[in-house]
Parts: sequence; C-alpha cells; structure tokens
Amino acid sequence: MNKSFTENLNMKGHLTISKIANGEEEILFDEKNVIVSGFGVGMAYLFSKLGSTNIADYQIDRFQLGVSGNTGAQVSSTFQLSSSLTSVDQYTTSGLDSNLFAFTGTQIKNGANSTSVFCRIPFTKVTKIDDRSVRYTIFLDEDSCNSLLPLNEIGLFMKNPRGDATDSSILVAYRYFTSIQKTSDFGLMFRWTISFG
Amino acid sequence: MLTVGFAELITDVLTVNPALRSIPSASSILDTSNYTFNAVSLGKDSEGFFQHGHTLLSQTFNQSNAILSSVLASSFGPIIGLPFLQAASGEWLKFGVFNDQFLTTLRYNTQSPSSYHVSATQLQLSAGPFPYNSNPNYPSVYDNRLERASTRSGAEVLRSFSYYDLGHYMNPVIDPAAATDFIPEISSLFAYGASAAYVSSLWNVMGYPPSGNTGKFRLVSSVNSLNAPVVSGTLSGVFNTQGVIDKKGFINVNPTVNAGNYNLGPYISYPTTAIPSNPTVNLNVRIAKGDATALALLGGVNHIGVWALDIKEMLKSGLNPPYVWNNINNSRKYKLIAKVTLWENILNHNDSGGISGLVRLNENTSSSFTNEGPTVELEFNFK
Repeated sequence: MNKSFTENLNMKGHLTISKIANGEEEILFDEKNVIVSGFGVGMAYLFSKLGSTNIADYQIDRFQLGVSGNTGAQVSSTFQLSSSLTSVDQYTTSGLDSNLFAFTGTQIKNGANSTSVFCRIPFTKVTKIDDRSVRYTIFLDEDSCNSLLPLNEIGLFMKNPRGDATDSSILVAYRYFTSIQKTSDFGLMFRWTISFG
Repeated sequence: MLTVGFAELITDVLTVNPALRSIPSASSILDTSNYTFNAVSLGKDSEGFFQHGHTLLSQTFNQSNAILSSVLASSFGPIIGLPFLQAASGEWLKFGVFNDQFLTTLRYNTQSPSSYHVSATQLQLSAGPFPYNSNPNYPSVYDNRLERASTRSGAEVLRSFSYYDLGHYMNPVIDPAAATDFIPEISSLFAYGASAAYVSSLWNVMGYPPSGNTGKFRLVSSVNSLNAPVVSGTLSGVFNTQGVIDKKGFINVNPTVNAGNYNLGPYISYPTTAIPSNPTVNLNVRIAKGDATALALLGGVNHIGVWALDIKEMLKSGLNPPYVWNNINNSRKYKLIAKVTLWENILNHNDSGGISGLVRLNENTSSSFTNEGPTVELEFNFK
C-alpha cells in the first residue's frame, strides 16, 4: 500500500487546549490531529518552483476557529473547516480589547479561491522545539471569541504557497475538539505541535 | 525514501524568521531556491570502492609496461607507511602514471566479454580469503550519506590521503587545490616531486572522467594483458563538460524547471495535470556517455542521493547567501533529503549486435538511448 507524503515523512500533529483562569491552567483537550492534503500541495508548489519565491509564504501564519467540527472532517482530504467563524467581530468581540488580529483574506478551497476570515499567528508564537518539531501557540484572551456557539474546530493555514498577489491561504492541519463555550471568564491556550520523522 | 534531512528542511522552512526580509544583507535567506532540490549524487556499495577500477594495478606491477621501462629496480619502500616505486635514478614515480593514466578494470565475466559485469567480479573476489560483499547499504531514514561505511578509494596509496570520504563517487579531476586536503604526512613528499595536481590526475581510480575526450579507459582480461585490452577508448565526462559537478561529486540541479533536456544537469519537472490536482514533482537524472562508462567500470550505481542546501551549516561557518553555484570552487554545503537504493546496478550493460556494452554506453551507438544515456525519473508525490 502506498503511503501518503505525510506518512512517508512520519509527519504528526498534536493539539493541547488549556483553559486559563485566575492564573491557573486546566487542560481541556490533548489529542493528535490530522495533517491535511493542503500541506502536501504547499510543498509541491515549493519543490516544483511553481509557487512563491519567498519562503515566508510557505509558513503557517494564520488560523481559523469554527463551530461545526465533527470527526468526519478529520480526514486528509479536508480543505476547510465545517463552519468557520465568518466575521472579524466574532474573533475580537466588537468593542472589547481582544489580543487577536483577525482579518478577511482569501482561502484556497479545493483549488478555488474563496473569501474567509483568519486570525494571525505572530511569528513570536512559532517555536522551533528541535530540528524536526514546531509548535504554534494560539491564545484567546478573555475578550476573544465570546458569546458564540461553542467552539469545536480549529485549522492552521499556510500563508500563500502559490505566491499570489493577494495572499491565498490553504488549510494544512485540522482538528475537531470537544465543544468549548468561550466566555469572558477565561482564556484559551492552544498549543499545536507539528513534528516530522 | 525521504530522510530526516527532509524533515529538518521543512522545519527550517516553517521557522525561518520572515523579518529577515527587511535586512538587505540577510533577505536572500528567504529565497525559496535555498530550500529545494539542489544537487544529486551517485554511489554504490562501500566495498566496491576497494574493487573494480579503483584498484591500482601497479601494486602488482607489470614491469614490462613501457612507461616504466626505465625502471631498473622496483622496490616498495614505505615512507610513512606508503608504498612507492623508486627508479634507480632516485626519481620518485609520479602518481599520475599509475595504471598508465587509464581507468583500468579487470573483467571476470565470460558472457558479454566486452562488457563489465559487477556480479562476476563479486563472485571471483568472494572466492578468496576476503569475500567481497557487493550489497549497497540498506536505506535508512537516518542516513546523511549514500553509503554509511567508508568509500575511500581502494588504491592503497590513496587510502592514506584524507581526501573526501563522502559516501558517493567523487570528482577529483577538477580539484585545483588538493594540497590543502592532504594529511600533513603527505606534504613531506612534495620535496620528492609529489604534487597536489596528482590528486586530480587520479580521477582514473576515483570517479568521474574529465571533459574533452581526454580520459581513457580499458577493460582487460588479466593484469598481464594491459597492452591488449578487450575494449578500450576515450572518455569525455558529460557532467564535467557541462560544468555541473563539483570536486566532491555533487551534481547541480538545473535551476530552470521543466528544462526538458539534460544540458545543464538533472532537472525538475511536473506533470501536465498540474498542482494542486496532482501534487507530484519529478527530478530527472541522466548518466550519459563518458560518465556512464566510467561509473560502470568503477562498479556501477546503486544509490542516487538528492540534496538540499544546509543553510544552518553554511551560516555557522560564516558563509552568507546568495549561494551561487561554482563547480570549481563550490562553497555550498549540502544535506541529504532523499535517496534511492537499488539492488540492481543502474548501469548494467551487455554486448549487443557485436558491439561492446561499454561502447554503447560511451558512444550512444546506434542511438541506444533516447537521452544519450540511462535516465532515472525520481517522483516526489506530495499527496
């Protein structure tokens, strides 16, 4: 049986979600995640030299949260969240001082462009754990993503592998998790580690 | 097979600081050409580097050889443990005339008598007290070279050199400054006429032939028949003619994608049903004419390695980008990211239609090959 690219590379993802309240941290979720085919597409653009000539465009610098996650979406062919948040305000809770930088951008969905809302992952939150592991830390503070349907899915995106004039991002990792009703009483910390080999 | 080097490369891609773009002297670190397929190398089983055409026949020297007819006495007088032939006049024999400057291989196969069968050599030599294991290393994801054991040439005098032992075929013919690579003991021989240039002249027992039809080869049936070879000819190294191979045997990948030809070495291509529906990238490698013949006589090819630039190592040693290709003075450092290991020798050949298999490889006789030599398409499927 032929292995996929990610299997050949022994590429794995692991997501931990913690609730931060009153200075204490409680782990709510701790599971592996699926690396979707979009990662391989990005790598194909890189190694074929068909895509962007700037290596930063192949980096994971944004994420989405959603509210309709399900186990059926945890397959390598997934190219979008089941129901991602649809506005900047949903991330930043209008009127409050959220730490998130949410914006509207272009997402590549099954080869076609579509307008979507993303949140930036600052480079300072990208940590090289060792020669073959990277961790992305995403923190939703008390003023972020409140008063929504329970959050239960998250996706990581590669910035712009095609090198389009306007960044066109592609889903590279996805995870459905047990529903979390986000309120202003606590923050949520997502620690997402991707390892190879 | 992807190695851990590939995993490290991807990790580097994901974690290089994008803010370098704002620093003019460092922004080229972000150039994607630093993070793709940059070079290819070819190799075989490690014990094969002791055998085949790597052997200096002068170690069982034939004194009837015309070049040394002036030698009145042959004595192996070790200096610092190295054997040398000392002419009566006291003039030290220059290394370059070993094997009369021919890439010389002893043939043991009786079938296809004008071709060279590695298997026959393995059978012959395994009958002796030191069996020859001609199996290449099984591939491991942790490999950082093609063959894990030493691949220093079996030529006895060369084994004392600290010349490169990289796990694959090297290309000393273009090495203009080999002196710096000699171990300190060898430098004392300079007073006796030894010279750095002789390392490059020893391509005939080490690796790729030079450009310009200046290389020579001969296939012989015995040590006593050096002057009556089964087949002989001149060799012109294609990689060296194209200037795409450095002294360490790294063959530069053509920076132009879909070149459709091998004029500038191996090249990258992709299927017509392009990404993303078919995220497949191919790396096309050809071993042609003089290169194919030389490597066939040296034991063939069982490994193909794919290399990326080792940015970290280069920055650590003070080398800043851009990392421009220069075959003579290549400062690039490489990391193995993928390899293919085959039980079968890619350069297996046979006599056909009365024509030597070696001649067919060397001269593309009757257009034996579509691309002038055996080609290999390495498919990287990113699905």
